[in-house]
This record gives sequence, C-alpha cells and structure tokens, in this order.
Amino acid sequence: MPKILLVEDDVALRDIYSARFGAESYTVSVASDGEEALSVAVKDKPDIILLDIMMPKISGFDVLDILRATPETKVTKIIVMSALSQPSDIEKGKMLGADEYLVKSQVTLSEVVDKVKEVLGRN
Amino acid sequence: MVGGLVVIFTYTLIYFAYPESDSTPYLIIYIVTLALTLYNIALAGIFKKNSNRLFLRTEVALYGIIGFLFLDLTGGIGSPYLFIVYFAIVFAFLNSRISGYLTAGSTVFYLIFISLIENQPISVNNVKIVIPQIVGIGFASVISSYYGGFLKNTLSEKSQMQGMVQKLTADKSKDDAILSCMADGVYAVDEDRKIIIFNKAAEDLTGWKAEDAIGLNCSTVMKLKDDQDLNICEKSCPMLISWSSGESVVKNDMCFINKYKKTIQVSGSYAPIKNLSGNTTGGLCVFRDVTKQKQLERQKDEFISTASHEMRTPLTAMEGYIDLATNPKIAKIDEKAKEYLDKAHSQVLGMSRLMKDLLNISKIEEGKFELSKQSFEIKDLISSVIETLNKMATEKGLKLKFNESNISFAGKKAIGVSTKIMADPDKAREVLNNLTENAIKYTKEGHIEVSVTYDQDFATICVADTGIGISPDDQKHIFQKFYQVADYETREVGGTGLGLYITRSMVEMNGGKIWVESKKGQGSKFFFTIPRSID
Repeated sequence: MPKILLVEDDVALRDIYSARFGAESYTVSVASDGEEALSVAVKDKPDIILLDIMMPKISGFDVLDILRATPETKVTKIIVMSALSQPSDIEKGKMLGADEYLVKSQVTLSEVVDKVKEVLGRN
Repeated sequence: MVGGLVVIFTYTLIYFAYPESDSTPYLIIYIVTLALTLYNIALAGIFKKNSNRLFLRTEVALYGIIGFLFLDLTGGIGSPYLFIVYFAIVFAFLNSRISGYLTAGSTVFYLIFISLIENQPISVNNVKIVIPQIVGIGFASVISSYYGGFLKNTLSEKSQMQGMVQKLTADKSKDDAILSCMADGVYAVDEDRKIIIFNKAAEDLTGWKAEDAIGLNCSTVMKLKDDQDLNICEKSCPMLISWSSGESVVKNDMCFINKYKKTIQVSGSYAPIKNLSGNTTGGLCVFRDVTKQKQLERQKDEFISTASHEMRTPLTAMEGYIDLATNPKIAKIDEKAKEYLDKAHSQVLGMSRLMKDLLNISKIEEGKFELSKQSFEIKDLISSVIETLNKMATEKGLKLKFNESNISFAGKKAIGVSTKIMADPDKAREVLNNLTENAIKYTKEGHIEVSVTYDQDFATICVADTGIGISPDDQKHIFQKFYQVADYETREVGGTGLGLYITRSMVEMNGGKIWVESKKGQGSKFFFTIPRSID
C-alpha cells in the first residue's frame, strides 16, 4: 500500500485529498505547513509527497530544497501542486528536484490522482 | 484746459483795456466762447469725460475769431499783439497740419483784407508791413509743419511703446498668474537645459525655491529615475528625446527624491520650444505627482489578485467535495442526489471559469498581461488540447480531429522549413482551448476539425465545426466584450460574453489576428494566426 504525504495549508483541500487518496487505498499522512512537512516526511518515509508552495513558516520551495538534501527523502517522489503558474515558478520547482509541477487551477482531482499513480509507476 | 483759461484771461484783460470792444456782436461772441470754454473745462476737469470734438473745435474757432476781432481793435496790422498770431500758428501746427494751415491761411487772408481792401487806397507803407508778415507766416508755417509732424510722430511712437510695454507687462503677469495657480509643476529650460521658469507647484513638489532652481541644469533639480531606479536625466532625458524628435514626449513611470528626501512618483510631458525659424531654443515640462494614484493602482491590483485567489480556494474545495460525494468508492448516494450534485458541479465550474475570465480581463485592460514568448511546434499544442477535450466531445457524440497539412507556401510544398511558431505557449493553449471548447458547446452533431496551414510569415489555425453557425450581424460583434448571441439555441449553453474577447486579446498580444467565417445553421470556422518563428 503506497504511502502519501499531503502538504497543504488549506484545511478543506487537505480533507478532500485525504478522502480521495484514502478511497484509492493509499496510507495518507498530512502536514499543514513546511515545518510539519519536514518532520513528518522524515518520520513516516512516504513514497510520494504532494507539496504546496505558498504556506506559512517555510515555503514549499525551501521544503523541496531541504528534502532533496536530506538522505531519507533524497529519492522520494515529490509532486509540487501550487497556485503559482508563472513559467519561472515551474522552472524553479523542477530545478529544485520536483518530479512534477501541477498548477492548481489547471487540474481536476481525478487528474491529480492519475498523476500520482503515474509518477509512482516511474522508476 | 490751462490753455483755455489763459486765452480767456488774456481776452478778458484786453476787453477791459479797450473800451471800443464794448459792442453787442463782440459781447455775444465773447459770452458764447466763455460759456463753451467753461463747459469743456468742466467736462474734462470735473466729470473726467472726453470732451465733445465738435465743441472743442468750435471753441478753438471762436478763439480765432475773437483773436482777429482783438487784432482789429488794437490797430490791425499795426497791432502790438500781432506776434501772438505766430504762437497760435505754431501751436496749431503742433495739433494738426490742417488746423495749422487754417490758422496761417486765415491770418494771411485777414492781413490782406485789412491792409489792401479796408484801408483804401492801398498805402505803400501798409504793403511794406504786410509783405514781411506774410513771408514770416509762410516761414513759420513751413518750419512748424515739418517739426510739428516730426514731434507728433515721436510723441505717438513713445505712446505706442508705452502701450506695448503695458500690454507686455499685463501679458507677463497673466502668464505668471496662470503658471502660479496651476496644480501641475511647470518648468522651462533654455537650450543648455538650464531652468528659466519654475512655477509654484514645481517649488512645492521638488522643495526647491524658484530663485535657487533658476539657472541650474534641470538634472540637478529633478534627479529623475525610472521604475528600475536608474538615473534617466543623463542618458535618456525625456526633454532631449523630445528635442531630437521635435514632438512632445509623455513619460509616466518616473520618480525623483525631493529636497525633503521624499520619493515622488511623477508623470511628465515634455515639449520643445522653437523659435520662428523652427530651431529648438528650449523646452517645457509639465509634471504631476502620481504617488497616490500609483499606490491606489497597486492596492487595486493586490485586491483583485487576493480576491480572486481567496474566491478560487473555496471553489476548488466545493469542486473537491462534490467530486468526493459522487465518487462511489467514498460515498453512497442515490441517483437523484448524484444528478443534483452533477448540476452543482457544472455551476461551480462555470463560476471558476468566470473568476478566471474576470482576472484575465482586468490584466488585459491594465496592459499587465505578462507574455513569455517561445519558439514551439503548434501541432504539438493542438494534439495536446485535442487530447484534453476529446472526452468532452465524445460525451456529446462528436468527433474531434486534427488535420495536419504539410507546410507549403503559396501552394508549393516547402521542405526542410521549420513549422515552429513564436508565441506564449500558455496563451496559445488558452486560445485554442477556448475556440475548441466553444465549437463543442455549440455543435449538436457532426464533427470538429482543427487544422493548421503555414505561409511565409504566419501559421493559420482553423477550428471548424458543424454547429449552429453565426448570423452575419452577430459575426460583427462576436469578439467584443460582453457580447452574447441571443437566441434559444445559445441560451442553453450560457456564458459570460467574455471568452471570445479574451481570446481575441490573447491572439493580438501574440501578434496575430482572429476572424470567423460562418453561415447560420451551417457551422462556423474560426481562424487565428500566430507569427512563425524565424529560423
């Protein structure tokens, strides 16, 4: 059973994604800010992380940077999912080591689930 | 006035000194003259009104007549007062040539009449007296006539000059008044960009006093910077730009730090000042403080972006919850509930679409759409859009296909030429998405075909459908903001009237054109062009 960590500051979105991934029989853990994300990621060792960018305390870009520099999460699959849609933001996310960059307003819930499955299926 | 008084005084003296003058006709003339003189004096002296010209002339003429009567009384050509006639002639010429000649002429006539006609027989003695008098009068007339004219010209020139000086002074104080009551800062510079005029508002905005600023180079006083904080006074002074182009220049994104160390954002317009031969002799700048305005604009932008973000978040959540509720793996609901939730879902989608459109419109209208143009293959983009929308088309039983033609110029196949285009891929995707989605919405049966052709400069993309078509009247307005085709067939589909306006704006921003070919009931073809990438 794949383990997924949802990092999202909006409580409704966290709730929705938890339910949706729960229904797809994922083991779901959640974090509501960057700091919590780092501690949960190291403790739970998820297979994939769905990472928001605009969050309190530590931004998603910094979380991404730290995760890639930490041995436990160096190869963990990470999908960035943010409201930021500028090409420069997308490039920054990819450069910092994100496997995928999704723009929130451009994807539906099912597409996110499909993307997660696809990324997990990659070697 | 004084002249009149002197004349009357003199005549009164003579009147009492010569009792022979006490005859009735003389008395009448004397009284009339006195009355007229007093009237004219009163008019000019007390009531400060212009005297009647006719009265004045009559008065002068009466002086003349009385003068001759006195001359007659005091001994005619032998009168000791004859010299006064010379003064009269000289003054008459100073007044005008006509009155001069009249006075001189009447004197000559009087002398000839007295000496030659009245004193019969003509005595040689009298002729000896009269001839030198006539010569003297002639001489005096010639000299007075010449110098009188000369004096008059000089006097009138002087008064003209005075008039001009007065007018200029009045003009200048009018200009000063206009400049000082203007709310915009105004300064003028000479050809070395040294300040020559600096108004009150300019003083208030810059903190410089006019007397300190005048004579300094405008770059010392203004120290303008652009929005990237770079000094523009030296390299790209707007005044110099206006001089070299010969036209006025308007610049909105400037700021300067005034004497009180306050940063002021200004918008300024610059115009060259030219002399009669068209050479630039200086320049004028009118500038205003737009700090508050810019701040408001920023606040408005922030508000729009925050509001749209804040509204999008709950919409995403609503969409998510509906998705969960209708997912059989997560929730159990009956058919009716599912039907209503599906309807709610499509409303939510419409709402998010509207939010996105409004945000786009506000960006378009403020000219703040950021484009990041790249060179890419339009056919890849078309395939990707078709892949995304295929589900929507299939659900309606429509076929969605892509017809890729070979690259050809003017009907001839071109080999080895790149088919890449130069545009912002996100905007191009949005354009294609909007047009294809519209085609699916307004088509009940048949197919939608997207094709692309290339010419020397452009790629032309066509989205053709077999839908309801558009009437010629609607075709004219269809790309305008808020325009919606109003009939029962389109009402079912709904919309905001913003989609095609945004689509057109995005095409134009990328350097292309958009147009439609359609017949009511026979489908529509939407075309748009995008510049080809230069290899």
